[in-house]
Amino acid sequence: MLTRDTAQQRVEEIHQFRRELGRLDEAGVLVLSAEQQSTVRGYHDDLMAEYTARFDVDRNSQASQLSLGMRVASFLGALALAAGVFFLFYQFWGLFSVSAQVGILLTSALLSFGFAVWLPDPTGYFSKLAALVAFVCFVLNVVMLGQIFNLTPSDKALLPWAALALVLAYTCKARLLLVAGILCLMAFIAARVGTWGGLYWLDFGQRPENFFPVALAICFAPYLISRPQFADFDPMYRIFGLLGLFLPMLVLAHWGYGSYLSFDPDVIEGSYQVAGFVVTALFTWLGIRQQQREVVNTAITFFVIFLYTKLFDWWWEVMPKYLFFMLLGLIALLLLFILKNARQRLSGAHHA
Amino acid sequence: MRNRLIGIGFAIVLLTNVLVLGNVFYNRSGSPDSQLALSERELTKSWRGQSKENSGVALMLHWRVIPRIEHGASYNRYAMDSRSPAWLDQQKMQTLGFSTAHNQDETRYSSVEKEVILVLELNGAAYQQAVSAAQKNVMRLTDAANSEHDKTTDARAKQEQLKNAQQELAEEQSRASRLFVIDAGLDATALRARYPDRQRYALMRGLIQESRQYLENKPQLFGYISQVHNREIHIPQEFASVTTAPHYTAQVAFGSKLEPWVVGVTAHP
Repeated sequence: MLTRDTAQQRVEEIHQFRRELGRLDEAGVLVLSAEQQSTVRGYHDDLMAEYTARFDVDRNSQASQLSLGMRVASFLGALALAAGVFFLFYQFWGLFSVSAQVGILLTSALLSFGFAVWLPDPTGYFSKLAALVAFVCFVLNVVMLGQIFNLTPSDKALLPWAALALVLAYTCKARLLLVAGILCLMAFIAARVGTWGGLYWLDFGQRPENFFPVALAICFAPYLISRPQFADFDPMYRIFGLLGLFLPMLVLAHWGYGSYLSFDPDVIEGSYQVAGFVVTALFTWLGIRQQQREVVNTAITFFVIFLYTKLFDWWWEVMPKYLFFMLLGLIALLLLFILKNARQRLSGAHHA
Repeated sequence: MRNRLIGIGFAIVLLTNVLVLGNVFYNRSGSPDSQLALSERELTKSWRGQSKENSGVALMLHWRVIPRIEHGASYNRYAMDSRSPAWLDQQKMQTLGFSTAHNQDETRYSSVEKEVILVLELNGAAYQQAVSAAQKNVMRLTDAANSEHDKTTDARAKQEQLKNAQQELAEEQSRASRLFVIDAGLDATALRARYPDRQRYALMRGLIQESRQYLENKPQLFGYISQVHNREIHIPQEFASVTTAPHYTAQVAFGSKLEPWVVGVTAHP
């Protein structure tokens, strides 16, 4: 199914093709006749015109730079509007009766959601902005009801927030809201796991292991729910799933007291340090095998962080600072050498 | 699929509001679990009501405890603002479900919090105990000021101490909060049976955290009240202006879910 992202990718491939064809022509390797050049150019021009009309793709590098600027402006505008809605309500809510407050909160949540999903916007910039405002209106809705009626704080609020964020993400193709939905869902499940372990729900961060079940579930969710028209959502699931896995491991590698396990904290820290190296290496291998660049990059980043923090523990106090940093640099060069060899072997295997 | 998602989105917003308002209705339906007449001594202005950016008004519940007092120690009003009551000892912590297994292990410290139900007493025995302690303190320092035997302390210092103690007594009698947390448990029904006076005792949910202190060089498990839920009580618009008066009494009801709401506020001269 053709989406804006696949159309944009096709446009970039057309530009690459034209550049390569020009080089082949200059080298005398492949010379097309004038008629053939005209036919190919006309076909590609018509195709790009169609994509521009349907998906508002960037036809050249200047347009793509402007698009990046528009995305930044859209994001900042969304944040500013969301903050404005928030503070607008705070400024005037005390002047209304309870019934009016409830009515305003519910109406703003429903209207903003309706506006976001029905806004005709083929470019996507305005609908994503409206979607973020709709999400903030809903969060405000629940938070303010809690304040008005003096409700006991509960992790259950995270579930509808996650649900609406995901609905908005898939309706308006907004990756930022996908991230918001994933984070709310991870927080909710981690809080639930924490309460099952005897913690108060807000203290779920005191036991980083609460994040492991949901992190793994998020990481492998694309295998169950992936859709071609949302192909760019899959990397977000994997990145945040891996963050939910690696960050707690990193914390526990230096804070054994935070573990559910009742062993000696030093043993726990050592175990998580070893596990950190093993798991990051495993995901690096998995990412290379599945051709998932975001998995490889995230896993390698955390492998290096685990390595550097371990080296810091070993050497920072016992050797001069210049020697410590020089050794770190040499280790980085060694890693570079290893990865380069791995890449050459993979390239060789691919060509074979 | 898009239309289905839109339908689900509307349903999420509507259902969430219905559930929240349904919980509010359930909490406030029937007779309240308790209703206390709290004055400006127990309900102070919240920081939220003092911001120009926020027109909402809220009052903060100000509660105290009778702290553990070392043998021979004198009255200390500020200790009553601490969160570590004398009754929250190791035995009590065990009944609340805290484990003392790692109590003796000095290498392992746990900061576990548990949600419990707290019993708040208004103008009861705990408050009388605080007033009595302040009065005894004044009497003790009066005797010390009049005594010629004690040459260790300067006479001027003694007068200063006495003056401070008298101010503290006046503070205790006229301005300090009369609301004390006196007990905790896991079963609201059992607590209500133990404290049946619904005009004097309110049940509220809160958090207790374990703390280790050394007594006679041995680690002992104590607890402290890290939080009382719903401590900040929203004031409906119809009562907001009354809370600007220097003296007021607010009727605060606590529902079946132990969540409070303000029933009425009256100003006093």
